[in-house]
Amino acid sequence: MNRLARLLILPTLALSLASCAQLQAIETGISLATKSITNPVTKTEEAQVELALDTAITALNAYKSACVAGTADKNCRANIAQIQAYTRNVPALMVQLRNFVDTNDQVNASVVYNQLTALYNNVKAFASTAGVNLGAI
Amino acid sequence: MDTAAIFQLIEQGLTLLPLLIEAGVSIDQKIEQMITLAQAGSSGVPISDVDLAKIRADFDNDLSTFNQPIA
Repeated sequence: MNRLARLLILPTLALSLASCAQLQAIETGISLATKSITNPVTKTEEAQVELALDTAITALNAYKSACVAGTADKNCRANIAQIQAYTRNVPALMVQLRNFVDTNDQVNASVVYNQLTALYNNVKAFASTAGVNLGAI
Repeated sequence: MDTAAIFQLIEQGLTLLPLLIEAGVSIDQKIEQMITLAQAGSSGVPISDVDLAKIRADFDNDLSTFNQPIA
């Protein structure tokens, strides 16, 4: 599905029907590039990562709320538990990333940045195995 | 600074906003933060420590909420 089509379709979705679409949008809405030492992590780039992930987590919180309210898909509790297995690793990595960015330790910042990217990719992979149509990435 | 990546982020983030609105989530603050990042990107001035601290705090809060066991 191209971006324009997605933009046209997304606003029409009701929450009760959008739980899978939420996961899909989360998955497709964020793209984190792999970092290298020659492409360091700056404060602005860290802010990018944080805001991107926060937007995704906000959507996941909406999915979780819908699940509690009984308006999400029948597998939502298992889906959330599986995603939490990954997201519970994020805080420790984020502490490291922030510290390395603050101290301009670009080598280690890049390592942690790439770990976060890998973690996010695991969430995307889980969404795929959960039967969510992920579309073209 | 990768200005193109910043604008890409904003474009991609916008695709999530309709879903958040449908879910009744207040997105005013997210939009303001995206604007802040866009301004930092277009001006070439790095994001301020105050703005970065706010983004960090919001992320921590939202992530903590999600990571709570589901009721």
